Amino acid sequence: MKGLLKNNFMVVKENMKILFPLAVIFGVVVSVTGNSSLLSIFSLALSPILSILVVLCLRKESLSKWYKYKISLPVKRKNIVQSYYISHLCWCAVSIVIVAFFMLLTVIIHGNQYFYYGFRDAVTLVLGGGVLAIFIGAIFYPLYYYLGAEKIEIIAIISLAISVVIIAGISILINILVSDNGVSDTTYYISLLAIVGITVVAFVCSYFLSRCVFQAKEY
Amino acid sequence: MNYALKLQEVCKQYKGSDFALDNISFALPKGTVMGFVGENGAGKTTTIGCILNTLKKEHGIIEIFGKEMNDDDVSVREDIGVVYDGDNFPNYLTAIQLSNIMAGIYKQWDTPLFYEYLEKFHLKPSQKLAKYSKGMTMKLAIAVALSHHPKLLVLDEATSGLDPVMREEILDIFLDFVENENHSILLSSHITSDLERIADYITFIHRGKIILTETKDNLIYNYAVLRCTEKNFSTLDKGDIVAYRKKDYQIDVLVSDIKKARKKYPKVVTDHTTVDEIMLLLVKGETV
Repeated sequence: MKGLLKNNFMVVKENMKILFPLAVIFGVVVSVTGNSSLLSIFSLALSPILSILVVLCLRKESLSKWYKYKISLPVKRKNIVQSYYISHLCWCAVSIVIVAFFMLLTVIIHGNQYFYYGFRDAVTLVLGGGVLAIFIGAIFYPLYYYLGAEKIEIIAIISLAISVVIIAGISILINILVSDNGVSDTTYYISLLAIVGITVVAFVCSYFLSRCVFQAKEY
Repeated sequence: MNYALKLQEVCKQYKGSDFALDNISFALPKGTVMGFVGENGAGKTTTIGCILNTLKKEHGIIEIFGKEMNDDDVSVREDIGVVYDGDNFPNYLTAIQLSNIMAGIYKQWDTPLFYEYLEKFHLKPSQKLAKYSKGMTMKLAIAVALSHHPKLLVLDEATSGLDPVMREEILDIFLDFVENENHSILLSSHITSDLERIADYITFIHRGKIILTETKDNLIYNYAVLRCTEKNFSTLDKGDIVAYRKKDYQIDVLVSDIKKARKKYPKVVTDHTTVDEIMLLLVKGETV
């Protein structure tokens, strides 16, 4: 498993060399200007962008017979699937940490003037992007195993679209279900927890689905 | 006899394709090298896929070290070294990074041994695999396959893409490997001269069927080709003919006992044969 995780890190590393400096520059711009729109874009977009980049890197693996070679290594097929899900979570965590760092820096420099009715606190903003990034993985991997690496770009786009629709759908549903008199803090955080819970359940179910598809796959 | 690998009536069919592995059976004794020969599309890679579980066989038994290997049998795969034709590893890695990855996968990964092979094969450890030539990637794959102390090597066209000098060196390494009586090699190859050099057994596959499995010595020393005219051919005992092929003015007939053939048909020119010629006769020729 350790070797598989190392490989998954290596495959993304090159792309991160480009994305990471860009993320840092964007983060510095957000922190220096203190622009609330930029902060929202940075917080909500970084994790999904990184997530898309991580899944697209699987294309590089498919250029060799590595995907086939891995099955002949002393690892179980479920370990191979596991390694992708763990790597995906790790990269999501990295992006969340980056977002949290620059958000903290922005708030320290400019004061807490960003969190209002829509996004009540930093947690919502940070989690918003993270949840979307995790959802992208949850949709992507089973489709990747089912449809194959040749369709990786379209699978990534579909995953992003479905993830956005699901998150927006859940949010709208929660808004409909709660009263019209405005959302209380308790309802707000319960809703937030519900979205996180749904994301976790979707990610776990996705893992088992991918395992199931990959188990029957032939190369 | 102890077998490293044994296949019994293995069948595999692809959806939407006429091709199928049809009751493939052969056995690789421990301490030996088996050459697996066949034309393109004969079923070599499919057979190897079934052995390594990258393909699911429909029925039949495949035993590795006396045990059927399923996905959970990680310990069996610890003892197998694999080389596929072409790029085995992702080209974004360097040999050093590949070694680090393999060290996290194989319990018995031997980093110093891997570096020895890199040096022996003149491979730069810090060069990206994307910059390797085909020959270099094959050498790297062989180095990886040998660096975790396997007991069985499964090599699918492992010597293709190598120049004759390097092939010679690699074949010597394979011969060293099988000096240990617990080590065995299944080597699929188009380069029959390689097989003549190192194989103990040769198995011919054609259109998904095993058409012949023999010891190499038997093929080289006992098999023969009778160069017959139409008249000679009509006098041959059908039981002696393994396969025959009509040419313009000659019919080449493969027989399995050169001494018997020379004695029985003294007027017919009888030549020793090669693995190449046997393959051609078996694949392109006809049987009685």
